[in-house]
Amino acid sequence: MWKKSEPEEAHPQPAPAPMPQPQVTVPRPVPQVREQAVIGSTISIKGDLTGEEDLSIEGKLDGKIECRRHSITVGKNGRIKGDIYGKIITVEGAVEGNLYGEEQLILRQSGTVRGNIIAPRVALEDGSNFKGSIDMSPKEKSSAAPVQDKPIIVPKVT
Amino acid sequence: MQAGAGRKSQPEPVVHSSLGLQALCDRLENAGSRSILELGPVRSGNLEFWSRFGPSIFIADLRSNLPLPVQASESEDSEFVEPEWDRLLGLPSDGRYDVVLAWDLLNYMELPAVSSLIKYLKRFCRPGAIFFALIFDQKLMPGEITIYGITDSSHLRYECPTSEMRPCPRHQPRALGIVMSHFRTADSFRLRNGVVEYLFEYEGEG
Repeated sequence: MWKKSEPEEAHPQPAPAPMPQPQVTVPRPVPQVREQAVIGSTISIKGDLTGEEDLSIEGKLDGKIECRRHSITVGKNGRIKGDIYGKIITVEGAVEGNLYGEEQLILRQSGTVRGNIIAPRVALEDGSNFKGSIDMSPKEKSSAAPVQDKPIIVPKVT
Repeated sequence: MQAGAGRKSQPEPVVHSSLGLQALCDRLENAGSRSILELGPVRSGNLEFWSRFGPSIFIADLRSNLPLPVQASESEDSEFVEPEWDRLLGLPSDGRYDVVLAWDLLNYMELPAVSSLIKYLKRFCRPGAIFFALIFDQKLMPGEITIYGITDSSHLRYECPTSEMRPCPRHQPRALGIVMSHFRTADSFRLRNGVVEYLFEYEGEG
């Protein structure tokens, strides 16, 4: 009797070796979660801060903050003495210094600012505490480098 | 609630027409970019409103910094003691303004104090600057400085922080004309609610 041929699936053939794929460089997907540095409420810093990522501050800082291409948030517990340069600056705590927002500045109801605001768009919530000037000049003016307080060093002429 | 009952209650904001604001806006409409000095507190709606007249505004928020009423405090030798306007206002030394928004502040100051403030502010005013003030002409006025929200170019929302009232000094036009030296009354409007809105124009000291 002829043995009934078994279906092909009963004899699984070894899978053919995968064809070597050509080396294609695939761009990595952009991560959805933005990096953000956090300075906690127990942290106290004396000195300037610069960075290339978003920044959230709940602690105290005595110095300049510069993250011109990123968002900076001064949280409710944050206390800053110094100028702040950022793309979007949000203040919920207290700042004593000038604020330079490349895109926008937001002062929340709980926020206090003693200083000047230079930003093309400014949102000050009612009940917030602000004393100083607001300059919403066009960007080319507002982004101009601020006058430095550093002394001018005159080279010695011998 | 009766005045002076010890418990503060905040009455509902009321919207009143403002012919003075309308006149001020008419003046600013074609005047180009203007610098504004706000003696009151920060208001997001007001900031948005004023931003169309000029990109620069200084918020002095005297209401939060001034012990009211500002009296002609006299020392023992009867010399008037000037309030520390430098500290209270915090104006930059090179600040020059085309509009000063005083709202109802002058009602809470005795005339010598008004004179002192005007004398101080003159150096920060450009010739032609407009000083916008609301003067109460009634027996009683709100116990604290009112916050004014601009609803449109001819209406103001009065936000009284308290329902308590206090006697009103009822500054008269002639007396104001004297203490507002180098300013002339460009416009004045008597409103139904007992408020007289003044636009004083700075003529310069030359």
